[in-house]
Amino acid sequence: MISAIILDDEELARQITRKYLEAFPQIEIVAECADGFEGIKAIQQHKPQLLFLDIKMPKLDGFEVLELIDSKPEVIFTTAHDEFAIKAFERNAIDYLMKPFSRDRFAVALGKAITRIETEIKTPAKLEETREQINAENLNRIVIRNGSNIKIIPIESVLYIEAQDDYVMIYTSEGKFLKQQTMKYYETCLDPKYFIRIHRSYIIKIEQIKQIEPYEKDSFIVKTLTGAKLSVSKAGYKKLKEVLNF
Amino acid sequence: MEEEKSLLFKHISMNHPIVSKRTNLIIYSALSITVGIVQYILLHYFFKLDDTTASIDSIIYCTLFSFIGLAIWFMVYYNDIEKNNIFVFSISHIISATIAVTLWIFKSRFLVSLFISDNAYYNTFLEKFQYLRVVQGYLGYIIIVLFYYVLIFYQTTIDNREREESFKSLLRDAELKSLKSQINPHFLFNSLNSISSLTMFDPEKAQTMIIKLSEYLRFSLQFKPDDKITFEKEIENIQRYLEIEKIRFGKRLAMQFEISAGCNTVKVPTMILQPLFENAIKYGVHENTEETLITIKASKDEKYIKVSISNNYDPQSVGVRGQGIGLSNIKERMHLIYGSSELVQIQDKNNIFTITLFFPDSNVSSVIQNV
Repeated sequence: MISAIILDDEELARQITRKYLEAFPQIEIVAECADGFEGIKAIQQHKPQLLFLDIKMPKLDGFEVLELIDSKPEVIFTTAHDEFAIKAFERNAIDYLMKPFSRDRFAVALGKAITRIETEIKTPAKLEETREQINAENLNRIVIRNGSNIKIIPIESVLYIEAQDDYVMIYTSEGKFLKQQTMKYYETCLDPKYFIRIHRSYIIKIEQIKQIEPYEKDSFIVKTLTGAKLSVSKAGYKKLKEVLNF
Repeated sequence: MEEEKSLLFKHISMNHPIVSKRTNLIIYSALSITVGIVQYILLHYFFKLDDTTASIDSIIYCTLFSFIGLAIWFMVYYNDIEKNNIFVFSISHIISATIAVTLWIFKSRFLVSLFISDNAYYNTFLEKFQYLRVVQGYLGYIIIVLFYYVLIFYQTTIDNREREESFKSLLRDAELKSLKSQINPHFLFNSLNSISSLTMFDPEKAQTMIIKLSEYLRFSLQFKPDDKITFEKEIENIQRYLEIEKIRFGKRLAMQFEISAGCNTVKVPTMILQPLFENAIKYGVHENTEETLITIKASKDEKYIKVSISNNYDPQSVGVRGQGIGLSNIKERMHLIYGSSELVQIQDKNNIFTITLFFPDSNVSSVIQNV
């Protein structure tokens, strides 16, 4: 048996998947969820092998759900949007079904999924791999899971980001949050109009800069509005000069 | 240094049309040589000048005139026929022609005299037929000026044609966009998906939805963006739209209409309310697992109908942007149609988003304009 979860906010859409799955007795639907939060809970609990995933959903979108779960099920996206296909395949999706899809098209996707699950070509390096391929997209919120708590941080409230080994510490107006992600990712995905990487270890929101002052010889630090002091690299200083025109 | 040019000259660059283009230069040189040969033939066979004298005279006069001809371009370029009146235009050309011809004759005579100084026959010829040279000079001036104008007109026609083409394609794009903006593809495909699902479980409901969707599409495709319809018709279409979404979202969507009877006959721009309901669905229903209530209230006073559309939203659905773009489109459209930017009000309070539009009653607004 292959365990599967259907995650879609529309009942009628879940119904189709459920109906089509009747032709595949080897698939067992262990849960059906209508929003991202529920979805994460169910995935953490059941650790399904297969996930039918809508993209636009309340609370969290499909990609954010994938970002926050520990287990990595095979994913078949089901959506009416065509603009996320590339991103979906970058996340190693098995298939991308455009609503409305036919029974035959569904069977093709499922065939691929079953083959992949049965031959277990799943590699643990999958997530790391996708982290490297960053597609420049404008991030407008950051999601963080801490145990069963999910925190959604709007980009507006991010003050600065600090590198911490394999993680980054995100400092916001509501406190700091640890997130498994690379500095490179945020450097690419945060809007350069508002954020600037000033050091190997720091990305800062430009309007948070209160003062730039020399520190020892040849190096500088930035003082933020909240009173933090962040070192600036040579390259970072050059960028600051360009952006702030001094 | 460059002053504003008239329409005719707008697309003509300062670059000399003959010097900067090889083909034009070749044509121009060929013409000059032809004129030179004709002059030689005339001098030699008609005025009986000897071989050498006729060739030297022809070569020098024609070569010099060709150079002066190149300079005439600037006269044409700066003496803008569409900007100066005909009097100024003619006077400046006459003056410049006179200067050009005088210069030409004196320079040429001087140059020729370096080669031929003691030919009595030639000297008498010069005295006797000086006036022919002057005539030749003015004629040449006119021909060259005309030549430049032909070039300019030709260039302008080509440019106009190109601009017309690009304008047409812009127009096509715009039409296509307005079509796309009338029907949101995601709405369409999600609705079709709901229908696809209903055909299996509730064929009757599927049929109802197909009919509603068809009516909605027919209505949406029927009008151009600047058409106006009665408020009643617009609301009917909104109802269709919401009923389709209601089938999709079930309990998550609730709606409430409070419309006073006086509003119904007032004309409003087509599909003006549609994007507001799409927004309410997008930022309210899409982002909320609980019920989202969309309310529309419309009332009429002497000059306006006031239409308020509000929806509650999940305050936790942070960071979903884009609300601004849709709304600025509405503001812009209202401004374009009614010439006032005060007709749209936005309120965001207690997790309820409300947008209020004021539509001038067209019967009354004409009176207002007259006052």
